[in-house]
Amino acid sequence: MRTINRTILRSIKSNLSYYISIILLTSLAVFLVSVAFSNAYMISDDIKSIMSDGNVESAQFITSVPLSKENIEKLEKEHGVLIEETEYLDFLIEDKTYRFFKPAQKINKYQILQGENIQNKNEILLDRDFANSNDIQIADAYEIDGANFTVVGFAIRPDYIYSPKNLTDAWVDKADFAMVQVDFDTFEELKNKSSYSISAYYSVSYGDDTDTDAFRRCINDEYGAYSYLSSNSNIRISKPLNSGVEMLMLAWFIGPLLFTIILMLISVVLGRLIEREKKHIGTLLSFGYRNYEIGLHYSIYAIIPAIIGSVTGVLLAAFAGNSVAMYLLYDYQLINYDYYVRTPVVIICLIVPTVLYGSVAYIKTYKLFKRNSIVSLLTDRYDDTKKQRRMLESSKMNFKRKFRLRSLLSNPARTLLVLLCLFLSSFMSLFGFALGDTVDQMTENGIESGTVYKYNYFLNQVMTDNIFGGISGISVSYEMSDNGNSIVLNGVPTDSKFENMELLIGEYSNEGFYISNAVAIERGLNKGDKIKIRNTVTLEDIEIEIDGIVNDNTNQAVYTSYKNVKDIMQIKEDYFNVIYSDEELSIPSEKLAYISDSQSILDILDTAMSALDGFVYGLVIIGSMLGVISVYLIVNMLIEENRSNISMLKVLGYRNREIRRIIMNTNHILVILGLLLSYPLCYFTLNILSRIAIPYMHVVLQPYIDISSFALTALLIAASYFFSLSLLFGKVDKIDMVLALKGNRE
Amino acid sequence: MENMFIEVKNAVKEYGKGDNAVRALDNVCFSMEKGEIGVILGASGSGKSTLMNMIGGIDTLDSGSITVDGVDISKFNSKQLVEYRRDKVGFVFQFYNLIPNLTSKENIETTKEIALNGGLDLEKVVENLDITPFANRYPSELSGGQQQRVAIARAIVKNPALLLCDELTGALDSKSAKEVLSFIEKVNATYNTTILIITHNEEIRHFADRIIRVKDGRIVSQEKNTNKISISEIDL
Repeated sequence: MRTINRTILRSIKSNLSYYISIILLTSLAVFLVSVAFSNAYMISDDIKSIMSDGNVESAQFITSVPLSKENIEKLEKEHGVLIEETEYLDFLIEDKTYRFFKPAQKINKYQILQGENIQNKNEILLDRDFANSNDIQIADAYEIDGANFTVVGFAIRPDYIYSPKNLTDAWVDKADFAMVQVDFDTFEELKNKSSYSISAYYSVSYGDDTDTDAFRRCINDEYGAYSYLSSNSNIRISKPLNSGVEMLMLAWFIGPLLFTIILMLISVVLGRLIEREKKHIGTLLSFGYRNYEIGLHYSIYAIIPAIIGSVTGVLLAAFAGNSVAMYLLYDYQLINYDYYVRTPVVIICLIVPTVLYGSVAYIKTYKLFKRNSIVSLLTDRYDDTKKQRRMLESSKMNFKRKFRLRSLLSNPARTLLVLLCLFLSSFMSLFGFALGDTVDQMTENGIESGTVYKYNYFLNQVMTDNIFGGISGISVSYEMSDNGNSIVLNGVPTDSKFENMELLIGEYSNEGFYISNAVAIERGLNKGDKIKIRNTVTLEDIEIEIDGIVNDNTNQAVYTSYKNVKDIMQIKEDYFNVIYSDEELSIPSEKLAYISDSQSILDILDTAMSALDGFVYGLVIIGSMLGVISVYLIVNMLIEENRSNISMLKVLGYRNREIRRIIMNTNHILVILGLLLSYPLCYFTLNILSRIAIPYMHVVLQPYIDISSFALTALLIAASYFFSLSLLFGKVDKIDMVLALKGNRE
Repeated sequence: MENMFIEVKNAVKEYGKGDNAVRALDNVCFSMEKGEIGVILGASGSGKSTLMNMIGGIDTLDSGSITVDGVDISKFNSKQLVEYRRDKVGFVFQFYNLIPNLTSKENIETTKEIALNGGLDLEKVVENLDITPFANRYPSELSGGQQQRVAIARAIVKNPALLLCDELTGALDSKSAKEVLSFIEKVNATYNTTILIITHNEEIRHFADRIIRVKDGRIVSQEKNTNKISISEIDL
């Protein structure tokens, strides 16, 4: 080791608070980036692996003519697909639903997560989340409907990684919904019990060369398809598959942003540290050291905190990242996730800060050589003041204000950086709160706008005479012709409240077609545009011209008159398959597909969104940490720069409190500016993100920031800002008058 | 010794500990009357700056006492010392110690703002010290002599009872030094300020009322100057 390199550790020791701050910021950035990317890859890989190993279905359908074994073989041969009937039995007791699945042979095959496979009759495999929620262990005896079962293990079906009981449910109730795997004999036995309701559909897995349209047409033409649901419209399959993509989006958002900000901050701090070593650098140059030797020497100053910070961040991500993953995957079944920090992520996280910080230090040193001669480096008195720009000299303003203003304006790059850090800190906190506000707003206003009547009864059959009351309508499953996304064609009755739905664009007429705002924004559609939608059963395309946009942010829907739908469907009689009512109706359960009532949806969404709290608080905590550390770094630097001024003010008789006010209050205005800037930019970002998320969520989140959230953010930012300042009070108080005056006499 | 404005008795100050201890002040005793100009002479490291720091309330004694205007400041805690410096003392330093991002006038304002009873009229002080032409300039735009004038103005604008000047001409050429000292003389005459100047320039002693010589932390001589002459008559 060269002798001059011995100064590195000594310099780090004497500037420990700077280095600790840099290490903390680096660790924070590396931790967040590592966790975000590792989780994104883990979710993607592990979920895809379960789906691929279990051969998850490509679609499910119901036919009016049952498919025989021969029919299935013929279809499989002709279309290169695999088809299997999926059957399950639901047993409901005390708010708990047990769903027994018929063992699958070809499609949606379960996989054992823990324990043994079923060997004997009356042995069962449960889903792990239900077992955990109900404190059920492997080998426990478990009684359902008077029958005794032995739990031999935990298993997962690839089509139930996200497991709402009904496809239309917006939430998962892991404690009250059990997925039970049994052997074939047990299933057949249970099937004969009247207490169990049977459901069945066909699952299909497409081959590589399958012409899906031809297959669907064939199903409809030959067997009379009643419904056809593609996996990309099946929330149980599409949601977990998309979550990896969503996580990657978040990682790409957080990573570069954090690294850029932190790098800028570190660049300023390192620049300052190197600036303070001017005399030392001048001395080395006078001895004959080459520029690059000195540049490399100072790069090590930066590389050390980069390595320590990166390693700490990666280690934290390795040990604590798993709990973050489990939180993010709260909605999904607890499969055997294999969380680890991916090697490329480790390499990038270790290399990027090291190279970047090292380069910054090298460039800063190099700039110093270029700007100064050896003589000026050796005699650095009043170098700073040479940069002093003339401002406010004739103003009557109090000198303290002028001092602060000049501190801010004389170093615009640093001021901008402080503003950026304070803005980011405010932004993250406000974004966290605003996300909660936006979702709350959607649950309240969105559901209200999307549900015209309090109760919507969807029937499992079409009917002609409504003996139950309410208003009859028709709702038909369609998909977008170009990408297969689900869309519902609603035929709304005349003289109903549908005619009063709020139109964002256009005017209501009985002949018109109106799309929901969710569709309009997702696809960038407007009044006068045309869209092609396809009947999921008949595969018939229809083209409709949009007459307006309905304020409905939660449904992918087309609204038109009942008569229009009747014409499209070529129905002569007054068929209906949905009943709308503001009062609860008594409709026999065997006639119902499902009920959707606005209050239940609200309750469910409220519960589901409470899971968002952790994410919100996470952002708030990270924002506050960033604020505290960055303010600490910058103000610390400001104090260092003003050591002789502080000392002088002390000599003049200024009290510590007064000195703190002059030196440390410089950034107050930036806190306010950062906060004010965060509001519009937070709104803008939410807007962008909600648009990016539309293709995955199919709902429109209208950005909304409650005034109380803004006030809370202001309070938090002020608290963390003043906390940072309070950490530095001691530093100002400790500056020795004698030492500083001696320093000036060198 | 009655009615002395400054009385230093048996002042002792040591820096460092054990074998490395250095006695910067060793039983120092001296006194000055109100309105006098005193000069402390001594070589580098003789302890004269330490003595000034003690009298100015920047540092504290290990033993002994310092009484200024009838008050024993050696008993003061750090808060009381702040108030003492604030109300009674003005400092002028060799390297001016002006705040770089404040103009001349603003630097003077820094003490005017904390002066007891508002201090002197700032405009008048600026005028008296011929600062007006560069009142709105930053320290980096001034010559050494001009900076030192600003430093003097900053020190006297709060109308201190005691003005302490530490090598105030040390960084100046002889012309500027003379100019600066003439302002000190003017201040003393105008405001009856007691002034203590620390210097190693022997010539300065001629315009002082009291001359104190320090060596190795001890007072080696102190005398009243009966042949005091104006700075204009001194060849620096």
